[in-house]
Amino acid sequence: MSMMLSFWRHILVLVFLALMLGLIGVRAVKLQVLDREFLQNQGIARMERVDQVVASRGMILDRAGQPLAVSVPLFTLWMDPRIVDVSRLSELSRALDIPHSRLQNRIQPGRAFAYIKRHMVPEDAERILALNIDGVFSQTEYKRYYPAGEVTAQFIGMTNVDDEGQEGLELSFNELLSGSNGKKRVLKDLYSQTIRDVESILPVSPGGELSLTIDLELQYLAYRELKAAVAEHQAKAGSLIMMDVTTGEVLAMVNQPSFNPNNRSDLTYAQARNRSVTDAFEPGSVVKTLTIAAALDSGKYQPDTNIKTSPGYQRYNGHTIRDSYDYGTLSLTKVLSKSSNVGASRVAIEVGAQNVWQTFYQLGLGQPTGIGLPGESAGSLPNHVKWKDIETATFSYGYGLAVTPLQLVTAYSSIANAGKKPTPRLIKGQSIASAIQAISPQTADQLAAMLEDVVLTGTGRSAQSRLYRIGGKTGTAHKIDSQGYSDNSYVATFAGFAPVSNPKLAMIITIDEPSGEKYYGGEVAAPAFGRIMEAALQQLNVVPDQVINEQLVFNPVLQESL
Amino acid sequence: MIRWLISVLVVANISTGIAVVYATFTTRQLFTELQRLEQRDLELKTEYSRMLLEKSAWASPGRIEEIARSQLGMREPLPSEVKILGVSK
Repeated sequence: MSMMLSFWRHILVLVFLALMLGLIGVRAVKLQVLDREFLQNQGIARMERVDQVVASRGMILDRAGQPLAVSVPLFTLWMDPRIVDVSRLSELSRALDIPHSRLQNRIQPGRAFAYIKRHMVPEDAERILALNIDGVFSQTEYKRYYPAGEVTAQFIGMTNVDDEGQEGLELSFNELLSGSNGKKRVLKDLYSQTIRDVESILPVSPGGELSLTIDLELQYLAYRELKAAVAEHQAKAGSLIMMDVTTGEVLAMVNQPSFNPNNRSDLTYAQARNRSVTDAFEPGSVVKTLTIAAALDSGKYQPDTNIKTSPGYQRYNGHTIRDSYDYGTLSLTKVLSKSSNVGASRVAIEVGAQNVWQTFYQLGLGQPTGIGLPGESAGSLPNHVKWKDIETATFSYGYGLAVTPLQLVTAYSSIANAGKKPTPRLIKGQSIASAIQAISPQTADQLAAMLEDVVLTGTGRSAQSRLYRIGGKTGTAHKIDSQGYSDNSYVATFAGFAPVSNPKLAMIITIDEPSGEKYYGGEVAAPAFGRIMEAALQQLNVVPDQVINEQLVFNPVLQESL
Repeated sequence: MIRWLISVLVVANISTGIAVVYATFTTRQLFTELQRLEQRDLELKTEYSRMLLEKSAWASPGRIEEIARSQLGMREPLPSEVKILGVSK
């Protein structure tokens, strides 16, 4: 009996064990075979993450390799609201000096990410991380710094908080500078700490460097002098461009007012504008040089051809144009030196409006230069089917058209470069189309001599240097207000180049609305031109082509016709 | 014959097992090393860019000019002090 009992007991245990084994087997088959794919996917979804590898933004350098924009890696703290230790939020808020309520508000249900604080220096971020609060993490982000600050602010532009270009070169070369972020697959543990890099999906490619043609030392020099000139004459704004006449490389590009790109809390639109390329203005007498170029190119005029300008005014189509004085009969050279409106308009009408327009156009007016800055203005160079005499006349001395400082300095570079118009550029090593012959070499030569006469005897005398022969032309243009041409707001300009014996640099200075006692281009822009040009040429080690020992005195400066 | 094959397979099995352990161990070690180096890379980049900024602050033309003029008493030469060395033609 007991044998039977033990036998059945034995069987029962065996069956029970077999059943258990079978259950485990079924479960194993289900997990390993039937649900395998689903379970593996779930595992990957919980453990594997694709992390972004942030690419650093490339530097912007000047022509000598001095940094103008640098990206500095900084730490950004963030939290995962699902797992953050809410009980320690007040501790976090004290450590960061951020109100508790603000942190609390960022914890939204259903979110897996919230910023705590962006762009922290490593020490501060590490101090917070050392608190070891669950769900608080750091990531690397880059912030842009501009060592030259306000001196280079407008053309370099700026980036936003996400390191994307917003203005200037930062915007137009954003793709090159930003590079591309990489991606990698990583394994993370329960606390979102990376425990293993699985594979690199996309290698990170850091942003490229951008080398400019700007010479930081000349830029500083120009900035300081322009700022002083704008302040001295209580002007609203000012801009300056310095260009290498043979290569078209822009060596300095300065605007006033300016701003500090490293601290833009009170940035205004007026400060951010790169006036030298975005603002077209009616140039006034500075373009008389181009009218004279058309006259010389036509073959009808020589520098010593006499033009009658008496009685100092002239009526066209019911409008009167005037000179400051009755100059009598002037040679073509003196029409330019004394900046006679009557002389220039008579010449223009004789040469023909179409020819004058053509010369302006060939020297680059009315077209964008393609320098690669956002918001460049093409200016305005209207061509009429039929030109009235008054239109031709005012056009000849710079009204009825609009130009940017960049276009004008390019035109003056062409004159200095034996008539070949260089392509303005700001990016070093950029391949460019070869210079086109805009005016004949002979015309360019004669013009250079005439422009030197402007500085030696005419309206531009205060631009003289004791070391370099300077050629250039003044301009004082009435601005337009709601009543038409204003009687008391002007743009004062000086454009020219040096040394005349072998030109190296061309430059333009425009001073917008000088409101002190002086407002003529020859009084406001020319003195700054002479100082900056002399210092810049010395800086570049250009051999002086004259040495004058006595002090230069030029009072009173001859006033040009408006 | 069979016994011989089995013993070879057993040895192979054990040695690949050890190799897997070794490879995993090395991977972990190298991964730790990689993370350490990436950290170092970031630190050095940070330091480099800070140095660069510091250098350009100290060496800014404005500052150099200021020091040259005020502390060192330097100035531009007057035209009378300029001597041009002509190139013989």
